[in-house]
Amino acid sequence: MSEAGLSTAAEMAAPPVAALPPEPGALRAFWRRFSRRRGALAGLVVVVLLGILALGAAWIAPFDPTATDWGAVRAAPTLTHLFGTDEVGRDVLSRIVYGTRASLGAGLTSVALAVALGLPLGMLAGYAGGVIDGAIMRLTDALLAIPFLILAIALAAFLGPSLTNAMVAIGLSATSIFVRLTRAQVQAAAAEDFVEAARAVGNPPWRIALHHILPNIVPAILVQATLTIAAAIIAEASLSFLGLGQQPPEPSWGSMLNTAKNFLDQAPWMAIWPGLSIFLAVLAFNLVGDGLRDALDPRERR
Amino acid sequence: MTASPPLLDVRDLAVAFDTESGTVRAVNGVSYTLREGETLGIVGESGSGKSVHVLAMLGLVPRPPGRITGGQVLFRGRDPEGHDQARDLLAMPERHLRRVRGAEIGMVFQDPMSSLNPAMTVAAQIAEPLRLHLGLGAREARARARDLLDLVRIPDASRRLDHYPHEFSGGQRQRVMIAIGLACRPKLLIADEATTALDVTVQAEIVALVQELKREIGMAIVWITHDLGVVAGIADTVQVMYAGRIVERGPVDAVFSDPRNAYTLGLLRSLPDLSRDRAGRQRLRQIEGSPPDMRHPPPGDPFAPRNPFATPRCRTEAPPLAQVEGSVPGHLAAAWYDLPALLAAGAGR
Repeated sequence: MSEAGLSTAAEMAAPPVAALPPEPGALRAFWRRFSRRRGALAGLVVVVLLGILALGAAWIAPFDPTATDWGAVRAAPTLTHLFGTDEVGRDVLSRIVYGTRASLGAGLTSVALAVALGLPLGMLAGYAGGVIDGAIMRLTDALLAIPFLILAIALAAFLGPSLTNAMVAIGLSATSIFVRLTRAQVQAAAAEDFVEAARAVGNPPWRIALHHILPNIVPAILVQATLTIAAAIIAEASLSFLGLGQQPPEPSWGSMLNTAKNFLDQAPWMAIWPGLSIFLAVLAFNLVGDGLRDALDPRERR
Repeated sequence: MTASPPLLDVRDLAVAFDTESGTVRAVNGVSYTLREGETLGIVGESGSGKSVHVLAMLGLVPRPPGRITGGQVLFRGRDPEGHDQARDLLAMPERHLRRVRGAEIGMVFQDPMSSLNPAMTVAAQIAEPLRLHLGLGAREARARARDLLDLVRIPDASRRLDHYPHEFSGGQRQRVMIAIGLACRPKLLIADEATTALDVTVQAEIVALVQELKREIGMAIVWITHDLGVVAGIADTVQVMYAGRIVERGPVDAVFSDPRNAYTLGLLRSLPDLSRDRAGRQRLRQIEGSPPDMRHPPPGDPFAPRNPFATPRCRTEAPPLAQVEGSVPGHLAAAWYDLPALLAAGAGR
């Protein structure tokens, strides 16, 4: 799944996605194209709901996610514990709700880090060219040669197990995708006539990069960022599953799956709910990303 | 000819491009002058060097692969102290040249669809040279942008300031480009195929607009085109380029009525003549052959291989650009042959 989400970066690189002007008419037109796609809309609804869960976890979760209840160990779903309880009697629903924080937080933070590093490096490589470009791109190629998840695991193991370190590891692993995409987009945009026109007006290079090229490549970065969030959520779950992410007793969908695997026969609900949550979250971000790409694609205007 | 020194004095400009299959000599020793307020039309086919030599003067040819291999371009603009002074654009550091571009020399490009930034409002794009060169604040620049939209006859300017380029028609976008080019009241406006991408009726509107603006502002214009009709309508002087050289130059009337270079004649003959009646219907004449490979230009006159009037000397020795005997002063042509005499004798029919 993550590989599929990531490989789209290279394919998207060629044509620059049309600009997204912050103007009411254009925004409305964009929304019309986006909302026409049911999958994208459904994905957006799920993403928004997950966001509400993450932010309002303290009010929404019926129990303390770390409170144990030895009277109800691995209890099947009941009206009190809608999703059942785990091996030390914690409420699975409450842990799923709090786990949203780890997943969304890791997805958003790591991708923000990847964009914050990858976008400037990619712009530098694409705009400056020459030796700088060569150095940045060889490093990027080297990182891209290592599978995304393997690199994240290696980095997380090196940094030490914690959710923050997992986010950093995932963010660093995803950086090369954004370097490559940004560079390709910058090169495509820099060849446009309006960039030459901007030079003819007397713009210095830094202004051309920031005012003329950057706004035109934002949509493509946005699409890739959304798709990468999905991949980052899987990566966080994987790291937590391996014990490299969220540390017990704090909840994370990945670590919940890890404990659940020992009780698949006796307490399948322990595995089903976190598995389903990961599936839903990843699907939702992928649908939104695909929808964004279609809605921003200049070839599908009108 | 005139007492005051020229606004633009191009001396022996040469530009080359290094490609994998060899060096392309795109511009080979172009020299001419432009007076203040003069309109010069430069015509020639694609690859004649007409656009490249202008981009080279402004430092807009990407280097590499482009390379300015020689010459001087003296432009009489304001120096950093604000005095009028002729300075060599080719010798200027890039950061000085940036103060000339957009401020003293405005530029309008071929395709208004792609020359405006799709992610910026037209107000921001018109305001850009004002803010860069005149140091205007956001509010002043916006007010000036509105005046400029008025100037280029875009109706309802205040409301349209915050529109994006895709909300304008092709002709209106070219008007916006002209507004950007003229924003800082440059002494020289360069239009590079500015009407080529437009519908014929819109072309006429743009040409008329530029003529009106010239009367109001009085800037000199270099109008690069392959449309002889536009040149006839707008230019004082016409300059025909072929293979990176000027082959003929002079007052529009003289050159069009009495061409002395075979390539100029070929261009004129390839135009439909609407004044002929149906009985006198005539096939349009094309110029046979194709432009020379500028990696290996032929020795002598580069047009000789396509020229039915070529003499043996044309194939070995390039003719200099010289005053045409028996024509008005300033009518220059590069030819070893005597075109009027050959035509009178019935050659090239």
